[in-house]
Amino acid sequence: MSDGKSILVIGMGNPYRCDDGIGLQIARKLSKILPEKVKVQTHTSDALVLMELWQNYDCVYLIDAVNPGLRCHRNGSHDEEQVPGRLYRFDAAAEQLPPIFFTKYSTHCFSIQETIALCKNLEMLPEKLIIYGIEGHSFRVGTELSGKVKQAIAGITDCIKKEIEDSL
Amino acid sequence: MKNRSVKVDCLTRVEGEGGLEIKIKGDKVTDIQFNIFEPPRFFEAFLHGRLFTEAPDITARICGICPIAYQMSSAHAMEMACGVKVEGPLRDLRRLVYCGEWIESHALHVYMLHAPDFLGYDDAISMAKDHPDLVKQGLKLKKIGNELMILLGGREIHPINICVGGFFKVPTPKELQKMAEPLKWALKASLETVKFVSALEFPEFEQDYEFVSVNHDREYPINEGRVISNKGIDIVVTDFLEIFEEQQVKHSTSLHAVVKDRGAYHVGPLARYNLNFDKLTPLAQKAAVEAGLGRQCNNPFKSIIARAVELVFACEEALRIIDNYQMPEKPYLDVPPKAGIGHGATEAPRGLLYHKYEIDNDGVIKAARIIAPTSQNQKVIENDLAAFVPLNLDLPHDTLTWKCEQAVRNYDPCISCSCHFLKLNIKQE
Repeated sequence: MSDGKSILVIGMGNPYRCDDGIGLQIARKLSKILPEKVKVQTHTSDALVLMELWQNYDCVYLIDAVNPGLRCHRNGSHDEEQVPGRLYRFDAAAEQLPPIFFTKYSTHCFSIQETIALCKNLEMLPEKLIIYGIEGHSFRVGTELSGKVKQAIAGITDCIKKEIEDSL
Repeated sequence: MKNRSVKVDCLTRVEGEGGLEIKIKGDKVTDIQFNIFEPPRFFEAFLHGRLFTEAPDITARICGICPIAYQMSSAHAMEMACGVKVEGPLRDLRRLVYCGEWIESHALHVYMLHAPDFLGYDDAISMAKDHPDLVKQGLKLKKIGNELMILLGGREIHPINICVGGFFKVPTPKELQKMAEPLKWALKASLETVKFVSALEFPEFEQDYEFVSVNHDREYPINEGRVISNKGIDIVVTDFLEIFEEQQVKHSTSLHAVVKDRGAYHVGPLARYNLNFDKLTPLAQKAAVEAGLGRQCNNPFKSIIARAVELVFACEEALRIIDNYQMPEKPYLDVPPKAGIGHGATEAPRGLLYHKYEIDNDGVIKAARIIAPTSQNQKVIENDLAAFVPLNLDLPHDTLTWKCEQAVRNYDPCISCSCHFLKLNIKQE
């Protein structure tokens, strides 16, 4: 993608719910190592606001924690194996997010899946939307990441950095 | 004799977790239960021992969509206990941030939660495919409400800038003026919203409600006043618990509120509209009349029109406050604690929200009482269904189930709030 298209990276999550803060931490690390032309933001609120954030960008990378305790297969089935720190990647334009992948922030708000479905119907999706989901272990009240999720940060950051830089 | 049941295990397009079970024997409804199974949240209990200054921040966590209502009711109650009254620009700013909450909450409900019912869609997402401009308009209205809340409250979910006595920081007139253009757009969009909802198809269904709301001698009620009804109640807020009481019911973790010795009552936009029409702005009144709402409306399905009219009012009120704003010297009044009891009744988007606190000389909370609008509406929701279902028994089961869910959504229930958390089951017996 070396034709001057605009790129946005959004780290999502709740910093006060342990592993739910992983997306924010990775986004902050990426903001220090990605080229300046790549914009990086963090977002801690309703997923519906993403529609506004990504409106002026051609390519968006969204990073967030996903539900623990479930291994989600692309065909929608799941098993009970937990692998905290495991990285999932979805291309929103090409595939459906598994329904149990991302939980709602609260019952007042739209989830990432609902926001993407709404944007598809409103033709407000960016040209390219890649979602990285990192399997969390603990979503209790707290600011510390759990052990294996913390250990996975460096590898996940490098992986996302490589994809973005390859696309430039 | 045919027996049926309509059951909704988990009601959709409402906030929180609730369900509905209706038992029918022949052509009679034998039982209706609006089940709240959202876990009890114990806010009233864990406020004990906290400082009075913490009440706005703690109670804001009761609700993610109407936190301002909790912050205002609690702040007013604490100020009453301490003998302080907030007036002038600080009072105006409180009304302004509350307008922001009304705009975002009403826009969300009208467009994303209730309109799909009237237009025959499962949800706003599927509605967006056929009506993209409609949904975009609703989302933009919601965004403007949120922006007002962010400007004055620090953030839209659980605002952090509200305190007993006022605010931690107040905007400059220049900062407020930045909201003028978006609010002017929002006003036009609100008027279009009234036109849009007035053209929807409404069931012919009216009930003889006791409407209850805050009432002020000069303004459409938002943040303070007496408490009145259309059946003779006219009290100061300190007498609230003399007239209203909460009752426990087996099928709900949320208490039911009633008028003592009388029964169910109705709070929310329709109640406010019916009791305070004369205090709406001329433009809002005109929009209401042109929408066919009339001076009085007893059809709960038309609450969507009342909400849209209140959108018009909230936008005009916000613009009025911004135009007249003079920055106060200090963002808050000092409120030294003293032993006492305070009450606060303000109008959350969904209806009257009542708080009562007892504090000691150090400002430590000794007792707390919070009565949310959805608790107050639970009984009237059940009464509506008891009257509505027998009139519609000829409908196919799925359609009847949907209509019952729609009837619950008339009240825009905030189930999390009512549980300090719809699925409908109709059982044939």
